[in-house]
Amino acid sequence: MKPRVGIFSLSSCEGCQLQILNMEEELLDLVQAIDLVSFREAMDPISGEYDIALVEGAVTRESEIPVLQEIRRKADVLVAMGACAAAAGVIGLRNLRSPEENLRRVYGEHPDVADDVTVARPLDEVVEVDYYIRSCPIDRDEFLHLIKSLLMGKEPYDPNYPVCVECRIDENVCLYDLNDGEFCQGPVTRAGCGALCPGFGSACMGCRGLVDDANVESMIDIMVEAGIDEREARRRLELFHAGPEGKKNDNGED
Amino acid sequence: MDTAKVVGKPAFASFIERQAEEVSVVAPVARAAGEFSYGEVQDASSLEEEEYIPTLSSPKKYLLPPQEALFRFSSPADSAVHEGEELEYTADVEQKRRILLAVRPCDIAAIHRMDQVFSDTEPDPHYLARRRAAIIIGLDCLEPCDELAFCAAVGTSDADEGFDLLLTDLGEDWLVRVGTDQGAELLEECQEIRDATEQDLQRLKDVVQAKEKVFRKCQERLDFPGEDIPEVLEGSEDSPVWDEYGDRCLGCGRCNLVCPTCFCFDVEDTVSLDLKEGERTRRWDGCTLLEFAAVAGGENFRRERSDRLRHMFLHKGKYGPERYGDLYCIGCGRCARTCLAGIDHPEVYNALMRHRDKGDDHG
Amino acid sequence: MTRSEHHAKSLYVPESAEIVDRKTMTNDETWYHLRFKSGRTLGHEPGQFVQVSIPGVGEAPISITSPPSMTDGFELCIRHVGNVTNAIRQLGKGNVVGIRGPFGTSFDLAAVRGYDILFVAGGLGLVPLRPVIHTALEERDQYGRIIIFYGTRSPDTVLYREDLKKWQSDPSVDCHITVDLADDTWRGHVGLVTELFHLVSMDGENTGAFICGPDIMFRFVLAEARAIGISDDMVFLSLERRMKCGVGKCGHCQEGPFFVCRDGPCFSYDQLQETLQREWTE
Repeated sequence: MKPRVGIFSLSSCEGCQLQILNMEEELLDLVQAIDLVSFREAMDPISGEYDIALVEGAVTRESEIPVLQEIRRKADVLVAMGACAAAAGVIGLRNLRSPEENLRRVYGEHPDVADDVTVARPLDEVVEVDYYIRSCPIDRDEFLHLIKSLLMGKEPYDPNYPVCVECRIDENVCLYDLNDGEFCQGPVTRAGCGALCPGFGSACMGCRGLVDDANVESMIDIMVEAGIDEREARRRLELFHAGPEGKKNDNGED
Repeated sequence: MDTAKVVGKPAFASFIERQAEEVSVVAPVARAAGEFSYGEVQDASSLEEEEYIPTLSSPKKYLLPPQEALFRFSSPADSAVHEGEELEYTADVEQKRRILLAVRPCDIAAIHRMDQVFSDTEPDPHYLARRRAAIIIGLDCLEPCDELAFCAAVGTSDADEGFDLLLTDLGEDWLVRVGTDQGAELLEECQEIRDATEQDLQRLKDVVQAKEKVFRKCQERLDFPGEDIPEVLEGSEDSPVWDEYGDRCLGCGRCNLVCPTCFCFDVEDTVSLDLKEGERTRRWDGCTLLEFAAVAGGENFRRERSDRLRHMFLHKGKYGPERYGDLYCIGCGRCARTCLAGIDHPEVYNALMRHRDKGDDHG
Repeated sequence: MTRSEHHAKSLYVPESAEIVDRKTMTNDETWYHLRFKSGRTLGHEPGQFVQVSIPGVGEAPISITSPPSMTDGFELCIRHVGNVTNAIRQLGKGNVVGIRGPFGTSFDLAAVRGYDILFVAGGLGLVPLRPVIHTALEERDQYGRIIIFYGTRSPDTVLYREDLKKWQSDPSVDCHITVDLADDTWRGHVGLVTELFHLVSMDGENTGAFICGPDIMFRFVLAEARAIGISDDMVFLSLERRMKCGVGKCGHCQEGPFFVCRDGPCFSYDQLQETLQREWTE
C-alpha cells in the first residue's frame, strides 16, 4: 500500500511546500509512489489519516503546540522540513529580543493583535522528530531522497560533514581566498546542498545548521581574521539557528 | 637515464594541439585569485604558465573521480530492488584515453602512490582502467611554486619515474625524457624532434644542479630529513601537539579532499522513485570528518578532532611508508593552502620533533 | 586467502545468494542459511566475513558463522542495528540478497595445535568464534582442553542455544556461560565474562586463546589472559570496525597501520598491542 503523506505548515513562508509543487518533472511519479492526503498549498486543509507527516515552519504561537502534538500522535514518521522546522530558522532571530519588544516594534500601539506569540522553537523542542530535511528552502533532491528512503524503510542519509567538502569537490575558489568580504560559514555548516551558494560566489549563511562537532570558536577566529568584528561574526552564525538559545543574547539592537 | 629527446617549443605545442583533436587533454587552467584547476585544454599554453601553484584538486580526479558508479542494478520483476528478487547487475568501467599534461613532479609521485593502493591485494578495476588509459606528460619544476610547498623536503621535487614523458624547460626547447614505451610511441607523432646530444644532456644537468640551490629553502621547511618522518611520528601518539592543533582544526575535511594521495571513499546506494533500479556509487571521503570511523550502533573510533588529525598524519607519514616504502605526503602544500585554520604539515612535523627532543631531555 | 573467480567482473558487484532458511534467534538477531544461485561454494576460513548487500539500501560486513566443513551454502547470524541489517529482516525464505567475499584474515587454529584452547565470546562475538569452535571440535584430537567462556547481556540474548547445550554436555569441552543481568529463569552464572577466569583453572603457558566481543571487553579479557600466563602471540582476536568496501580501499576500517577488512579482522594480540594501547588511553 502506498504510504499516506501529510504536509503541514506552522509559522513559515511556505517556501518549502512550494519547492515540492515546483517539482514538475517528478510530481507525477511522486503521486504514483505516495498518497498526498493533505497539502495546504495544493489541496484542502488538514484532514484524514496519514502515515508520514512533513511539517514546515517553526513553533511560534501557543496555539500551534496542540496542532503539532496532534500531528505527532497521528503520524508514524514525523519529518521536520526546512530550516524553520529543523532549527527555528530565520524566524528564530526574533528570540534575540524579548517577545514584548518584538510586538512593540512590529505592531506599535496594537501589540495585542498577536496575543499568543512565544519564543520561536524548532519542532524537536516540542515533539519528537524522526528525520530532518534541512535548508532554506528545502532541496528537491533531498525531499525525493527522503521519500525514497522512507519507501524502502531506510534511514534517510543526512550529511553530518560541512559544506566545504562539497565545495572542495567542486573546486570552487574559496571565498576566503577571494577575500571580497564574504564571510562564508561553509566550514561549520552541514552539507547536502551541493555547496550551492559558494558555488555561485555567495557566502554560505548556514541555513542547514551546524555540523555535530562544529568548531565554532575556530570559525569565529577565521571570520574575524577575514575582517569583521567578533560580535558580528557571532551574529552571522546565528542567522538560521538562533533558536530559543538566542534569547540570552538579548541586546535589542539592529 | 632513459632516452631523452629535444624538441622546439612551437613544434611540441602543435603536437599537443593535434593530440587534443583526438583525445582528451587536461592541464592546469588559471582560475580566480591565482588558483588553478585541471580542465580540458586545446593547446600547450599550460606548459608556459609562470604563476603556477598546485591545482585546487590534483589530477587524481581523473583516476579516482569525486563520485562514480561502481555498478547499476535493476529489478527484472515487478518489485522494488530491496525486496529480495534476483537483480541484474551491470558494471561499466570507463577507459577513455586521456593525456594528463603538465603534471608536476609532486603529483607524479602522488599518482605512483595511488597506483600502489589501488593495485594492492584486491586490484580496483575502476581505478586501474582509468590509469591504464592515462598518459602522463610531466613538467619539471625549476623553482618552488610557493612558500607552502615542501616537496624538496620529502624528495618529490624531482621525478625519476611515474611519467610517460617528462618535460624540462631548456629555454627555446623542451628536453623530453621518455619514461615508458607508451611515451615513446606517442612521441613518434611529434615532428621536428631529435635525440638529445651530449650538449643537451649537459644543459639538463646544469638545470638540475641549479634546482638544488633554488629549492634549498623549500627543503629547509622541515627541520630534519624527510625520510625521518616515520621515526618522528613513532611514539608521538600522546604528544600534546595533537591537542594543540586539534583545537584549531575545523574537522572540515578540506585537507583530505585536496590531498593527491587521499584515496578513501564512502559508498551510497541511490534508487529511482519507482524503486526498480539504482546504482551504488562511491565518493571521496576524509578521515578528518566526524563520522568517518563511526559504525552502525553508534560507536565512533575517532570521535575527537585531534584523534582524526593525528590519524591523518600517521597515515601519511608512518602507516603508508611502512606498507609501501614511500611517504604518503608528497609536499605539494595543498592542505596548508586550503586550511582555514592555518595547519601546515611541516610545521606540525617540526613541532612533534621539538616535543620529542624535549621529552628526551627529561627522560 | 586466494581470490575467488567472482571478482573478475568487478570487485564491488555482489553475487546473488538465496535465503534457504532463517530462524529468529533473539529479539535483535536472526540466523540465515544462504546458498549462491550460481552453486559456488563460499570457500571461507573460520573468522572471515562477507559483505551483504540489499541493493538500494546498502551493504554491511557480516561474520560468517558456519564452519568451512559446511559446504551446502553458508550461515550468517545478523544483528539488526542499521539500514542493511534492518532491511534483510524483512526478507524470508526464497528471497535473494547480494554477497561479496569471503574477505579478511581467519583465526589461526594451526598456531594452537597441541595446545589447550580457550574461547572467550562476548555477546555477538560468539558469531565469528562459532566456526572456529566447530572446526576445533571436528579435529578434536589435535588439541588439548577446549574451554569456552560466553558472556552476554541477559538470558534472552543468548545465541546458539543448541550449540551451547551440546558443548555443555560434551565431556571433552568445558563450556561456561554467564549473563550480566539474570531473570527468574536463569540458573547459570551471573556476572561479567572475566569472572569465569576464576572458576576454571588453566595452564596458561600451554593455552591459546580466541577472543571476540565488544571493544570494551577486550581490555579486561586480555588482562585476564595475560594474568594466567597465555603469551600475547597465542591470543587471537577479531575486531569490528566500519567497513565500506571490504577490500582494503575505502579506508574506513583503518586502525593504526591496519586495514581491518584486509589485515584483519582476525589478529594476534601481539600485532595489535600498540593499536589497542592507544585506543585505551584515549
